Amino acid sequence: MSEFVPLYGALPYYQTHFVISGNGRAFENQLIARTMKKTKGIIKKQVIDAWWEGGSIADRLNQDANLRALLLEILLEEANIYIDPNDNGIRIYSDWKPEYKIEISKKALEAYNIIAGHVKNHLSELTVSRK
Amino acid sequence: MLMDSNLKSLFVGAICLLNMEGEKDYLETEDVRKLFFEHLKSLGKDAELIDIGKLDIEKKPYYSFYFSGRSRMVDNVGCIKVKGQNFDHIHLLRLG
Repeated sequence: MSEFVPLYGALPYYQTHFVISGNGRAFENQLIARTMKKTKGIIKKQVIDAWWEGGSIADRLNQDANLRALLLEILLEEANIYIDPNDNGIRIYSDWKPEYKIEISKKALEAYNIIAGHVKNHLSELTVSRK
Repeated sequence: MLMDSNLKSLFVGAICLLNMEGEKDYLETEDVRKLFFEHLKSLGKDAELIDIGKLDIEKKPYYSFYFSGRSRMVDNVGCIKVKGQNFDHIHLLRLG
């Protein structure tokens, strides 16, 4: 990609949302969450700790050791991961990426899949408990 | 000797200009959707391209705006369905 960024129109930055259909607003306080991380180094930067903050879904995600191990590997490329319940679905996404970095790694895709699984299970549990 | 170095720098400059003419500033949105789709296929995922504007999730707003720094100027690029995953769709968005 060229270093030149045009001053008009859409910018060459993209975001990939992993969407779970349904009304996320019904349980938005429980489902909203984001990752926090602790890094070490400047040139050879690495993530030494990662955890979730937010609603009750954050406690569930923090208990998953497999997911935490994946997060330590992918959070350098993905920056942060957010769970954002919305009117037309629950969206899991990372920060904006330039178009030459649009491709996602296999481990990142696996992590998003695990997070989506936790969100789905948590959502069904919340729906049952409300009834 | 001085003449030689000047000629060399001129030659390098001309090559740079030629390269710039053929270079795209950024890709078209359709290309990025297909690019990501092909990438998913290369990862061994059973993916399917969905036409733009067919799903409810493509309607705004895309964010709850509880997190700071979420842009309101966002373009819909399109959706991809990946079979055998916990999430239902992958939705690509473009800034601006």
